[in-house]
Amino acid sequence: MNIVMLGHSNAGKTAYVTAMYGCMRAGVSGFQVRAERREVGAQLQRRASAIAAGHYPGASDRRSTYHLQLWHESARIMDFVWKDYRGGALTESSHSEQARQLQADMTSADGLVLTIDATELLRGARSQAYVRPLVSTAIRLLSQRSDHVPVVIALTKWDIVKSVDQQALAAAEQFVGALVQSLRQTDHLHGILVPVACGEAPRNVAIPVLWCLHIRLLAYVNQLDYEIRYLDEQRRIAMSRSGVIDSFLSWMNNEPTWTEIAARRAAQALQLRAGLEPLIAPARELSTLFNSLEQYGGPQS
Amino acid sequence: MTIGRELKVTALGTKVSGKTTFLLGMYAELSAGGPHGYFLNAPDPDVDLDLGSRWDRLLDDGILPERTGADVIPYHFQFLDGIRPLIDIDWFDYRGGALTDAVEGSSGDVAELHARLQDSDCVYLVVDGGYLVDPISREVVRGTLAKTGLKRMSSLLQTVIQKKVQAEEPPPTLVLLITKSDVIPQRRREDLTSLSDDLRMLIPLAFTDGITTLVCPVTVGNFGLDDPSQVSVEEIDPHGLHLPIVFSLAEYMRQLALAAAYAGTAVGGRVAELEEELRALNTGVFRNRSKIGLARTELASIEEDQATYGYVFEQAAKRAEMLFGELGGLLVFRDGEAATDV
Repeated sequence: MNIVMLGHSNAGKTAYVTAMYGCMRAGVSGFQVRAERREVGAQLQRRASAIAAGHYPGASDRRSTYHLQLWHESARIMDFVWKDYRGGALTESSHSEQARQLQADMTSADGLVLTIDATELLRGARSQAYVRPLVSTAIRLLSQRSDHVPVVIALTKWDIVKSVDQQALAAAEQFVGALVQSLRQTDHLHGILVPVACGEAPRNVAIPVLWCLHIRLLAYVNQLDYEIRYLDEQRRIAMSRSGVIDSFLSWMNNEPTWTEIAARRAAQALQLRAGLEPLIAPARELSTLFNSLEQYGGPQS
Repeated sequence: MTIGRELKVTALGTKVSGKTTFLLGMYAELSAGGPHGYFLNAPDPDVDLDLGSRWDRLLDDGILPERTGADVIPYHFQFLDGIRPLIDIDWFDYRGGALTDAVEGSSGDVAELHARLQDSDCVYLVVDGGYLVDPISREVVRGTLAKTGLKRMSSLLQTVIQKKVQAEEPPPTLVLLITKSDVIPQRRREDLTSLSDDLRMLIPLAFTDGITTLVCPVTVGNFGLDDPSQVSVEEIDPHGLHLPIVFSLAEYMRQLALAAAYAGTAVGGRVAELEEELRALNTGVFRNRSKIGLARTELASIEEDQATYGYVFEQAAKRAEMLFGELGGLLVFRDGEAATDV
């Protein structure tokens, strides 16, 4: 799974991915995120500790890619790649390698995290200009998608606007309300809007990543379930056609009997079930983490 | 599902009419999300970036967009309802030589513009509000027509409309777009009837039979009568920039709904004929199975068309109603009379 994180320079993207790793490495409701490479994990944890103490990383000057894994209890559930773009990629022309890469990554992203610096929402008319490239890019790319895509609108630096949070929420409604409404109208996009703070008093740090993983996991579980049902039906049909005459004709034509075909379908279904069963409990548990959040789009709305 | 083909918009205006600033403001507003979750989006990210960054320069530093040397600037946009594309918009920004009387004879430029206008669904006549500060008297009509470019625009449109009428095609919808409307005194700006009367004097063609026209004052801010290249950012206060394109789409959808209703009625007549024919073919002892089969096939195909026209009518009429609802307070003229159905 590829998760693309997008936002302007200084929107807190790098701080987010770092704080998220620190939070998820420690574990949330039995779920953990681990880096594929030990040294990457160690580096992220060191930086996460610094953020928890109020020391934020500088702006990144290139795309950073993190190969991560979702674990539940002691089981590895899913691998995913987190792509953190430097802010400039959003406002550079297609001559820029990063901008081209971003377009390509967003077109095939399995999850999208749009980061908006909440402090920028309180600048009146200028706020719309700040949010516009992000909204416009998201609309352009999402209009080409028909598959299930989780979309998180993360309002970062929420700790800074805490004293005027109602004002900031009203501004978010004003400037990203149309995007939220667009997500709400679809069955295949799954959106949430979530205030996030990463520093000494973290807030909702785990939500964006877990939302993306939850939607992806759900889609995967549903797909497996569909395939198993299909194979069961195929097995049933094959069994109904089996018999002595079929065995004789199959032997004559040197082709598999319906009984053999039914056995193959049963074996395939069994294999898929073995893959599905360990995912059911984590998928259910993940779902419960978002009960208090308003979700936009998807079949449930 | 898109329910229309492509909306062709041509904007005509002199080089200082404020057309470019209007376009930038309109795009900035609608690409961030307009009313009811509508979006205008440039499929080419570089175009989006260019239009957005030029608008940002105005917001950040008060720098008005430079007057480009190009005579014609084409843009391709998509109008979306949320993430669902509704219709493509082929936008043609014209400020070339064909707008001045002096080059009437230079056939290439004029011929190109004629062809474009002939093909347009909607034409914006962009008028600098600075010329409408005071009521238009008979004495100033001639001078105003020349300065605003309306004389030439009117002449070009006259030819196009005549050709359309001859070809039994609907003429383009018109938008009298008054830019820099902040310079027009508030009472006059709010009394659109008086402003429309003046425009009727300047461009009577826009208020004649068969023509639908929107009178739409827009402003980017309170910059006054001077025409500086840089303005005070505190004075930036855009108003109404999205309304012209909303009107264009509403009118397009209205006409699409009318066309679908007309087509639906026409095929409805054929359905009745075929049903009668089938009744006749199915009576008597000796029945012509081949003719019955053909009639049934045609009936099924026509019924399918009828359902499609019904769907298009329903969708387009609904969209038109919703979009017209956005134009509250503006005046739309049909056949020269103020319309009451918007």
